[in-house]
Amino acid sequence: MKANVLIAEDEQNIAESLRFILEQAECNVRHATDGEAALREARLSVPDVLILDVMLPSLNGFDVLKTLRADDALKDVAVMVLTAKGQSQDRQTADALGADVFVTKPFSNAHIVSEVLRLAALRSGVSG
Amino acid sequence: MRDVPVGHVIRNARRQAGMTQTALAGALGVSVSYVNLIEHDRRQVRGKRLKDITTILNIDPKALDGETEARLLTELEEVSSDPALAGLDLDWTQVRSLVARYEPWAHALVALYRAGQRDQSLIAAFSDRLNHDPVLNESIHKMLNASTAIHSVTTILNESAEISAEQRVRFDSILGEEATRLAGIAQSLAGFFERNEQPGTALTAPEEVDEFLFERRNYFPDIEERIEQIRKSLDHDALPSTPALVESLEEDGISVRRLPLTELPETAHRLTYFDGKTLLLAEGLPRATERFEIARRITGLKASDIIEAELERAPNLTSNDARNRAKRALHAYAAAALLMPYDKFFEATKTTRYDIDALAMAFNASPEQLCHRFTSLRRPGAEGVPFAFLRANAAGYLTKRFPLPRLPMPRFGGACPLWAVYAAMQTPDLRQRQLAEFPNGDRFFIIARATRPVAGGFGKTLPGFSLMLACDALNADRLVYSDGLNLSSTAQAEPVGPTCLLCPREHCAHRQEPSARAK
Repeated sequence: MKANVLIAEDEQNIAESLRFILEQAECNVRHATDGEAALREARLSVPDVLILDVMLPSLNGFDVLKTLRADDALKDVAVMVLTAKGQSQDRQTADALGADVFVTKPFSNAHIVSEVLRLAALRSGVSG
Repeated sequence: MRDVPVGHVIRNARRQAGMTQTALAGALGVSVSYVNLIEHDRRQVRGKRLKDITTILNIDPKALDGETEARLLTELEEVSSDPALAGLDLDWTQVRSLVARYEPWAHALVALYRAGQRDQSLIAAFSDRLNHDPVLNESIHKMLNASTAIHSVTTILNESAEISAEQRVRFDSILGEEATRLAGIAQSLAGFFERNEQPGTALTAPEEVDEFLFERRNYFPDIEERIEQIRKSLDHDALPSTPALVESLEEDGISVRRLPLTELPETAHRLTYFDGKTLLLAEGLPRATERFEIARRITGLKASDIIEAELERAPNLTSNDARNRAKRALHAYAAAALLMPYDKFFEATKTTRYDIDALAMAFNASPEQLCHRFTSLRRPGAEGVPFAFLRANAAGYLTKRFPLPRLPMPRFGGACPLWAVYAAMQTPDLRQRQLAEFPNGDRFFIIARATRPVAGGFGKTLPGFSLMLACDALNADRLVYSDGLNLSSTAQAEPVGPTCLLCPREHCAHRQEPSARAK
């Protein structure tokens, strides 16, 4: 079963490279460029994994995560938080809000892929 | 009172005069060995003997008052208290020898220490900026995003076998875009740092001004002379009245208007506004403040050249900021001299024994203006009580400081919480008096009073401050405020310190941080 991944990232070039490496790893990939669009996409079709940038327009990554965890239909989505700051405060906030993985930019492609596949496998184990 | 080493000044002066110790001993009517003891600071000279030495060797009496050496000792004490020197077991008696025998090296040590402190505060400021500056944060965010894209795409191009020609072209173009973006960010960052570049000096601008005023003992005879001419030209032997001051300004083409606060321009500073042609004053401004503002404009017109000449003779004011601050200080000095003419004011201080309320009525001046003027009464032959002056804001931070050589004052932040300047904040309008004893045994008489804020309207309030004057306890009886107090050397005095870091009173209930002097 292919993993369904939603990328919430306003940096077009980063999103493109993420889409490429995840599609190479046989994932179904969708992309949203701001926080509200990410929630809309997630409600339209619940992803296995959400790759969530913190600094998003309209609704930032932490707000998206908080909304997600409060929504019965979306609360089990595995979330990988991406941040360009990587400060301990961001990590603590992400942990407190229920992020599954925290990754700082610049990231390793291989690490992203392996973590996404791991999270997707865990989720399919939970749901299946 | 701590003995101050001035023997080297006598020794140098004697040698310069081509005199032997024997000749000096003969002229003084003392033994050669006694002269030797004096020159090696093993005997202190005071009174008539000191006067004889200055006459015989033709020395300026100020060179032997020990003020420079006392200040240097205080500064070296601060240096020796630095935690970085803990464990070196510095011997205080050697510091006295250093000042006595190698004074320039002692100054060099203090200068290096200050340079180190300045660098530390710059590093702290830059560190703070790196963490909180929005421009830097934004740039770093963009830089990380650009490098993330470059890193990820480069990995794809290098490691992905299954990549189409079309995708390769797209990723090549991403690399180009992001490289250009990164270059732009780097350029804007370089511009940011260039704009914020500061010339490196050992002292901050306010410290340079403090040093300048201290070196001149806050007395500027040329300015006093010019102001006296101006005052006479106002055709008033007595103190200049407010109408006379206004008239003087108007004769020079500057009009003075009083307006309701709401009609003052938004940029009005301290409830006044001056555009070069009109001086606007908020209605209800305290009279003393109003007179001072008018006087300041008069001296701005008539004494600027003499103030510029003073600044020209101050090479240690190294930055524009320091020179501008010093200029403002000298204009305020000149305004005070106009409103409180030296001779009349000096006589009044003697008559009233520095009674601030009586002087405030007599001269239409505020307590702060009076305190400033007290510190400038240093004319040889007509010297007032030497005072230290402090002003603290509501946060306890010292916003003005004029030190005495033997009264250590913190260079940054606040002082010992036991100083009366802080107690005064709890009792506005009531004067606090204090006989304070420092850890080295020096005693000072302190008076302090907090002023209430002047409410000019919401958001336009002039802040209140706490003001403190301190003088050597030996001079306390010259102040009306000491009446009824036991000032003898055995009288009970309140134990205080300079700052917690420099104070050895380990068990003080007010201690905020460990003492660097504790063994």
